[in-house]
Amino acid sequence: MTMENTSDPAGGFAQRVDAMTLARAQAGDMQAFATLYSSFGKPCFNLALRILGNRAQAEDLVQEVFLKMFGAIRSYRGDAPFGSWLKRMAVNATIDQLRGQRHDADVDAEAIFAQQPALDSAGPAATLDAWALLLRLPARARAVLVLHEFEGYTHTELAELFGQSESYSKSILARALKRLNELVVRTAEPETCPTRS
Amino acid sequence: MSDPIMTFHQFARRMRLDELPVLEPSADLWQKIAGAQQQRRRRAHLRRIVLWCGSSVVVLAALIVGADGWFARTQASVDVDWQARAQALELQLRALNTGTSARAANAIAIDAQNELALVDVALQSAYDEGAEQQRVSALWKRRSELLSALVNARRQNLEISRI
Repeated sequence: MTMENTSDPAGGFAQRVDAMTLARAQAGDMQAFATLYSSFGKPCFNLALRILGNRAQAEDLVQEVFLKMFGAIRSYRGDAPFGSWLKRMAVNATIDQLRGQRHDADVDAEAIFAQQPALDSAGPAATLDAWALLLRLPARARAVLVLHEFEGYTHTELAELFGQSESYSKSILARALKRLNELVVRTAEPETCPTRS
Repeated sequence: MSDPIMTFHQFARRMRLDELPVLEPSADLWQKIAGAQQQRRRRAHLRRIVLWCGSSVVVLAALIVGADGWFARTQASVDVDWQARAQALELQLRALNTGTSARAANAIAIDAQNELALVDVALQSAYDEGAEQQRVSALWKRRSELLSALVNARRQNLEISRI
């Protein structure tokens, strides 16, 4: 019931790719691409799903990332592990998608959290489930939290990704955790109240 | 709960949250991706073919135009040669005619002279009609051959009369 090991779904982006598969993929071999998908499709999907919060959008993003990767793999020189290279591609595509969502385009932390009602939305169906809690966060806040807490991005890297200052991502993260805390408290409250018979 | 500034993992551990689920994408997602990739490849292949055909047509057209020009130039140079040769032979023939009083004519020379007159008429009408270069060239060639025969015949007659 803890959160360990969840940042690395199904082997995650840290999996190694053998040189032969990589060379074949760079030569355009579809079988090699299928091998890469079987290794990295799932982590890519889960990264997108955690940030976007929508299965269909996450699958569309995986498709976009892999098609982009097919075109760009010849330029991959092996300076970084293949998984890191692909993960960066996936994160960039996800952030681009978030930027494209007009309702989430606000860069001000206040505005981002003001868009989504906080405590009232935590109805009786809300449980102490990490995924359900994450989904209650605004998409941009969820992105900052997932990338920082699960994918190991620093605030400097997040600032670069979002084109904002470091204090921006720090502020978003702090507010996100605060919001989650409030949600948990609110959800737990009825259980802690003594019932009268 | 008074200190919300902690990591999500600490928060989750403290709150005994469930783990984030690790979900599987749809089973047919790879088929969709592979299909889209094949489609992109087909489109790119088609673009290359269209481009190749386009450039081939341009190159072919340039070759045809170039070859046509070269052929026309070559043909023209051949025509000029025959005409010049005929004129040179005519000058030779005149010189031979004036150089001797004896005009012993043989049968070949008579035939050649008759045909030469016909060729001259044909050449004149060819020019008047604006005939094709090929026809004019053929007539100049024939005229040249006839003059050559006449020159040879005159030379033979001269040699005979000197003996």
